[in-house]
Amino acid sequence: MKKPDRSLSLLGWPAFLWFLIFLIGPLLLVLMTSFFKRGLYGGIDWQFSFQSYVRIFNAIYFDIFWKSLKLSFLTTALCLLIGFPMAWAMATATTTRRVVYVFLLSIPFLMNLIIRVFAIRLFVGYDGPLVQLLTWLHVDFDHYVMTQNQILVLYGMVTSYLPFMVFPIYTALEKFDFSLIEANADLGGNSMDALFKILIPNTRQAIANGCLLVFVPTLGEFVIPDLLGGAKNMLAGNLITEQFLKSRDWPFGAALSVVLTIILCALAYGISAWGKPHQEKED
Amino acid sequence: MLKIVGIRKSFFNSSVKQEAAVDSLFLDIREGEFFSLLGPSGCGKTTLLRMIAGLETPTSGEILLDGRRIDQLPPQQRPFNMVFQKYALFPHLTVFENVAFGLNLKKISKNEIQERVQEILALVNMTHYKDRLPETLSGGQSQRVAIARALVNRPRILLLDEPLSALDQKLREHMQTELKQLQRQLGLTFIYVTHDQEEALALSDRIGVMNRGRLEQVSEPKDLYDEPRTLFAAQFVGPMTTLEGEVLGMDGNLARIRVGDTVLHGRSKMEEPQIASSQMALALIRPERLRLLETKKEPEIASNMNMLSGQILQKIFRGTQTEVLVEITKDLVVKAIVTDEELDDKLQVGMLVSVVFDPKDTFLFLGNK
Repeated sequence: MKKPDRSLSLLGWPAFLWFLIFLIGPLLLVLMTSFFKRGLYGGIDWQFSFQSYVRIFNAIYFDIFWKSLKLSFLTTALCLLIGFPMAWAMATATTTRRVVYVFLLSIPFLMNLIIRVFAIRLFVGYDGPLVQLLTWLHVDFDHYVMTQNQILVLYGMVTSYLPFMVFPIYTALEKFDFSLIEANADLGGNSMDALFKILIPNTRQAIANGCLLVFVPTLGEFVIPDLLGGAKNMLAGNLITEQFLKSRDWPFGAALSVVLTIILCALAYGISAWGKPHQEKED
Repeated sequence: MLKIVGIRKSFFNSSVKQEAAVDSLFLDIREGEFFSLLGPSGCGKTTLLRMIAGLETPTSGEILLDGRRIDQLPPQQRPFNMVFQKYALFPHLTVFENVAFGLNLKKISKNEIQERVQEILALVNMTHYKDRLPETLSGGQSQRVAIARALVNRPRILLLDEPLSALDQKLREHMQTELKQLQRQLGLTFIYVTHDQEEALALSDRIGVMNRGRLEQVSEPKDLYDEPRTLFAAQFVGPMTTLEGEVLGMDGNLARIRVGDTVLHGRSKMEEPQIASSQMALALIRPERLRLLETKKEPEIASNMNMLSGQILQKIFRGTQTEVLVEITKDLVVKAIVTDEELDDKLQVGMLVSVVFDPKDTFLFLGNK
């Protein structure tokens, strides 16, 4: 049989050019910048150097990267824990209800991320309704405690990225053949067997996609930690933005970006490799 | 062996008050028999099977296995296995792993699993495919794997939910033979759900005909065909030629009805009190029991036979047999089946004929078309 033609056809060229000029191009520029020195007044000194990369091995930056990774892992895990049952509930609902659920889940996309995060901040922050309620109930607590902290960052992250986990899993579960669950019960499997031996192996690809869609953007996220975390809770994303916008150390910012991108690519590769459907064994 | 006592299942639906899917049903399944539940879609046969499997909880009633109640047990604890309509093979597991699934859950030793799976795969001729994934199998192969996956657990009863409905005609007939052989060979009890009456007649030791959640008749295939007890069973199983008429009364053992200008005798399947009043009734005859004679031969016909006169309207050649449509009156056309080639050659469209049939083969039921 003739293999289907998978070479890039004419129709693919605009997208490919777009990709080349606006993604690969800038990435190469970042890579290039990272190998120069910072100019005395914030520009770039066109002198080849590894100094930006050497600087990353400073414990402070290590710590920030580590914290970011932890937070992204935690966000992804929480999104999966909340999102999977949610997707299950949606996929097993009646058709009319499903439409409503999908709509409800898409509502957050109708509003800008910054506004949404700011709303959270206003709601739980100093002088916000939550604090007022607790005060009215005579609960004794520090009024600033909920203004900016790590838990809030996590809360903001999970809230913002949950739909990215739910949608791919929901789509997979919608197509899932539920008689497989009955077959499991009929053959003597309990509900744990159904989950780990049937459901998860058969939705692995969707789970991996969901994890990617949450993990990748959260690792670079800087709006949420900035608004809800404050200066004490700096993450990789904030660190990078700061290098470009405040410290004006472009080579160092570029080097940080390169490292972050490499870490992301490696993890993304790992996640999607896990999600690949297993190949048939030839006999 | 398996006793179903007054079982009932109604599904709650907010919009309409539905009638029960299965209603006050009693049934005994005997050890080692091939029992078919036959009925049109929506008659409750699958619901009944799923209640036996434990995938559905009865609203009321009991299911007993060897005298012990099992209707409260989850499916995992019932010694039955099911062959699902669309196979429900696990797509991420190979044929071998699919079949070994139930045994793995029972924590049986690796060696024994290996042995039992190999044995059952050999039984269904699927040994060569053991490392394949289900998506690479054909319909018939998937069906064999589904059967193997159930059989390997050595169930007391094998439950089959329209297992052959997804296959094409030729393969279906082939698989029917294989299934029947398998059942004889293993001496295992099969409960087989189907809407295909030919399939039920061909495979079963006994058939339960279901309609609107109730059992209409439980009989051996031949009895069901020759002695239908209800109008539904008569019309659902096998072809029937139907005549509509008015009840006249009893005449010895036989009942009389008037169809057009002709009085016919037939075996009454009506309650005695109903016969008195002049109600509408249906006379049902198997089309192969209708004899066609040229009208000039009429004097040869015994006087106790039923007879209608008409004209041949159409002949439809069906290979092994010919269907002949005979117009009795403008609104009454009777279908007869002719298997005799010599007779078939003689019959021509437009010819005047007599349709002759024995009152013993004529079943009279209350009702109208």
